[in-house]
Amino acid sequence: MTRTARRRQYRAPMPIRIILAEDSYLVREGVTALLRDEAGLDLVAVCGDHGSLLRAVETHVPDVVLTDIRMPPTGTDEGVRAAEQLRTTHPEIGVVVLSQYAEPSYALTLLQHGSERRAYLLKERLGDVEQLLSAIETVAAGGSVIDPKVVDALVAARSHTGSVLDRLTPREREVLAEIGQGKSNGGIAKALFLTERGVEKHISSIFSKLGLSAERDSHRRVRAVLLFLGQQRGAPAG
Amino acid sequence: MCVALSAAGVVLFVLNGSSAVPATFGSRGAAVATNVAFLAFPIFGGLIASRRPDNPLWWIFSAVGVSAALWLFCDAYAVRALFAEPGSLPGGRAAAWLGNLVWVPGWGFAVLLYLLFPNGRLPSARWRPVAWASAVGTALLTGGLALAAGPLRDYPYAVNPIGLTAVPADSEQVGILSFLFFAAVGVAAVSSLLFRLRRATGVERQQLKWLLYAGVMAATGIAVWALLRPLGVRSPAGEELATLTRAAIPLAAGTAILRFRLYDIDVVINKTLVLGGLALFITTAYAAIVVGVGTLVGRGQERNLALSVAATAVVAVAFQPIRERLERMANRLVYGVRATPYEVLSRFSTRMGETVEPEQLLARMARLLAEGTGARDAQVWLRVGARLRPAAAWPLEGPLAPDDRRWRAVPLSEERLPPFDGVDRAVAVVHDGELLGALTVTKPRNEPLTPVDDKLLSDLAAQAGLVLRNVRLTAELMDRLEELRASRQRLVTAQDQARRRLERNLHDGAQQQLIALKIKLGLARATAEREHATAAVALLGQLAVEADDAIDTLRDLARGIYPPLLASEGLAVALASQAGRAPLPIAVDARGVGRYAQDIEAAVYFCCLEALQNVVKHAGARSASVTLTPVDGGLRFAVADDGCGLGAEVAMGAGLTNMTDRLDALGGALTILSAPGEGCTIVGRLPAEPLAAHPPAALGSRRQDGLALR
Repeated sequence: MTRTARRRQYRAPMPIRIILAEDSYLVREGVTALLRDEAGLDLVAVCGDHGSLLRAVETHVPDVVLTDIRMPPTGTDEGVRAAEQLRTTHPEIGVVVLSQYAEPSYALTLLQHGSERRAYLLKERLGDVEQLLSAIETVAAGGSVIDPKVVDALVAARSHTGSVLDRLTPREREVLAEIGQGKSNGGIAKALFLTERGVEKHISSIFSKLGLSAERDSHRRVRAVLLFLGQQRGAPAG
Repeated sequence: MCVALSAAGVVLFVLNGSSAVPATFGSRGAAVATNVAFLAFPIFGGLIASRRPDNPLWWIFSAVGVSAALWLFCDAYAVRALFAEPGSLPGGRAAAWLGNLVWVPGWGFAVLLYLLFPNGRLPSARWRPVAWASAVGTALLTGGLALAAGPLRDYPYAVNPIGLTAVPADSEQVGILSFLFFAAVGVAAVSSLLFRLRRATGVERQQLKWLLYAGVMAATGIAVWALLRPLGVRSPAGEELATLTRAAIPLAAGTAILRFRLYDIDVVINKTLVLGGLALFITTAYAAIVVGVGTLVGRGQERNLALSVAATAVVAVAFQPIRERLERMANRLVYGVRATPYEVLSRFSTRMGETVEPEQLLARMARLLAEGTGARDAQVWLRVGARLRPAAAWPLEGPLAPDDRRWRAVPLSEERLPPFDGVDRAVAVVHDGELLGALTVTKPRNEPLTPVDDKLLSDLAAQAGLVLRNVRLTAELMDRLEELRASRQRLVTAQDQARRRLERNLHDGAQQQLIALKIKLGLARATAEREHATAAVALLGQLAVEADDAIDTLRDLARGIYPPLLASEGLAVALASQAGRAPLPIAVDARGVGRYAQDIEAAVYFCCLEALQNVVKHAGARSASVTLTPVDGGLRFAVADDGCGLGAEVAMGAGLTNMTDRLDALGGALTILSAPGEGCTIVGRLPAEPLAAHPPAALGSRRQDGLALR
C-alpha cells in the first residue's frame, strides 16, 4: 500500500477547507507544516482557543474543523464542546477532535448526539499524516472515526466484566475494533488481511451475537458498535 | 354597632349630667356612679369585637353597657319628667317603668360575664346550672317587675303603666329576694373564677389575675369606705368615689381579653401588695399608738402631739425592715419560691461536679443565676482573646437568632469589665488575678436588684473562676484541634493543587513537545521517503515507535497524577474509566451521584483508587465493586472485594493511613470491614453538599459516561 494509492482513494475533487484550533505553539506549527503542502487541503485559519475557533468558523465556514480537545479558557474539553455547538449551528461541518486522552468517555460524549462527521483521534496520530488525512476525509464525507486505542480501551474494559463480548472469537473482536474506528468493509479487509467477503461474514456474526441489527452503512455502524460498548460500561457486573 | 351603642351611652350620660342635678335621692348618686363606671363595658365590648372577634364576650360587655346606659338615661329622664319639672318631658311614666327594671338584666349579664370570662366558655359542665339559674332568675325578675301592679318601687310617684293585678305587687320582700338571688349567683360566679385560676396556666392565668386584681381593688374600696364611715370620716362624695372604683372591673376584664401588657399585672400586684401593706402598717401603727395609747393615758393636746411624734418615730424605724419583709413576701406570692443564695451555691457546687461538657456547665450556671435572682435574663460570658463572648444564657426561649443582642461579643479594655448594654448588673469572674469572664443579670421590669441578689452574684462569680478557666482551656484545646484539622486540610488541598498543576504542566509541556517531535519525525520520514533514503526511513520509523512509547508512558503518568476526567466529568466517569483498566472486573455504581467540590471529589477518587490498588496487589480477588451513594449531608463510598480479607498488619499500611488522613482533613471517616477469607469492604463517608449546577448522573446531563448516551 503506497501513500499515493491510498490518498487517491479518498481524495475529493475540491480541496477540503480546514480550520485548525490548537493552543500549543509547537503542535500548531507542526500541524500547519504537515497540512500546508497537502494538495487536497486548504488550511484557511489557525486559532488558539475556543472563542476564536467559533469566530473563525463563522468567518470562513470550513468543511472540517481540526481541534485540540483541551484549550483555553478552561483547559478541559473545549474541543468536544465546540463540536457540540457546531452540531446545531453548522451541522454540515465535520469535526476532528485531537486529544491526549485515551479515555473512551470523551469519545462517547463526542458521539452522544450523533456520530456523523465526527472523529476522535489521539494526538500521536499527527505523526502519521495518512491517518490524519484519512480522518479528515472521512468526516468531510459524513463518516466517523474513533482512534483504535480508544476502541481498544472500550473493548478491554468490557472484556472482563462477563458480558456477551466473551462470546466473540478473537478474530471477531479484531473486526469489532476496526468497525469502531469507522473503517469500511474494504478497509477492514485490508487491515486484517481478509477478503471483503470474509469481513462481511464476521460482521454479521458479531452483530447477531451482540443483538444489533446489521448496518450496511459503515458510518452508522460505528455508532451502533460504540454505543453498544459504551452502554455496558459502568453498569454493575451482576 | 357596639361602638355606636357605647357612643350613645356616653351621649346619654352627658344628657343626664345636666338633668340629673335636681335629683337628690339618698343612694341615687352612688347608683349613677356605678352605672357611669359601667360605661367602660360597651367601650371594651367594641374594642374586643374589632380586635378579638373570636371572643364571644364582646356582646356581654355590650349588653351590660347598654343596660347601664339605658338606666342612666331612663332614670334621669323619669326624674326630670315626673319629679323635678313635672310635665316638662313626654313619656315620663314609660321611662320610669323601663328604668325600674332595666338594672336587672344588667346585673344578670354581669354575673354571666364572670362565669364566661375570659374565653366565653364555662369552666366546666358543672357550672351550667349556675348559668341557667342566673338566666332564669333574671328573666323572672325582669318580667315580674315589668308587670307588677301599683306604684313603681324606685319611682313611688309613678304607677306601672302596664301593671297586671294577677302579678304580685312589688314589695320590700321582692327587693330582698332579688338582692339575695344576685348575691348567691354573684358569689357562685366569683368562685368560678377562683376555680378557673387554680387550674389555669400561662395567658389565661394572667387574664384571670387581672380581673381578680380589679375585683379585690373594688371590694377594698368599698370595704375601706364602709370602715371609714362609722369612724366618722366622711367626704362629700365618698360613696360615689368608692363606687367609681368598680370601673376597674370592666377595665381589667377588657384589658385581659385584649391581652394588652398581660404580664405587667405581676408587677402591679407586687407593688400593690407592698404599698398596701405599708399603708396598713402605718395606719395601724398610728391608730394603735395615737388612738389606743391615747385612750389609755388620757386626753390632752400635748400628749397627743407627743404620741404622734412617737408614732412617727416607730413608723420611721420600722419602715425599712417592714418594707423588705413585705417585698420578700410579695415576691414569693407573685413569682413563686426562689432559691436562697445558700441553696444556689450548694447546688452550683454539686452540679459542677456532675457535668463534664463545658457548654452544659455554663448553661447550668446561667440557669442557677436566673433562678437564684429571679432574673429575666442571666448570661455567662467567656473571655476569648480581647473580647468577652456570651457563652450561655437563661432562659433560652427557642433558638436565638445569630444577630440576637445576647450573642454579641463585647470588646475588652485592659483587665476591666466593659459596659454591658441593657443589663442590671455585671460581675467579673477572676481567677489568679486574670479576668476570665463575667456574669450578667437582667431583672424583670420595675423589679430592682436586691442586695441579696447582688451578694449571690458575687459569690457565684467567685466560685465560677475555676469553672470558666477549665471551659476556656477546653475551648482553646478545641480551637487548636480545629486549627490542626484545617492545617491538614490545607496540606491535602495544596497536594491536590500541586498534582493538578503537575498534570497540566505535563500535558501542556512534555506531552505537547513529544507530539510536536512526532509530527516532525513524520515530516522527516516523508522527506526521507521522497529521497529514497531507506536506512533513514527505517530509523525514523523506529524513532516514531519510541516516541509513541514515551507518549503512552507520559499519558499514564499524567493520568495517575491527576486524571483530567475527574475535573471535567466527575467522580462516576473518572472511577469507571479507572476501573476499566484494572486486571480484574470492577463494577462501578454511582447512580444519583452528581458533582461535588474539587477537594471532595479528589478525596473520594484517590481513596477509591488506593483501595482498588490494595485489592489488585493484596486481595487475590476475582472481582471488586465500587459504590458511591449520596447520603444525608454527605457522600459515602464503598470498595468491596471477594478476596482473602485484610490482616491487621495490612490495615495499618501506608495506603490506609493516606486514606484516613485525606478523609480526616475533610471531616470524614473510614471503616474497614474484613474477615480472613471473606473479602474486604472499605467504607468511607464524608460531609459534602452536591453542587447545584451539576445534576446527578441518573438524571442524564450531557457530561455523562456511556450510561446516558442515547
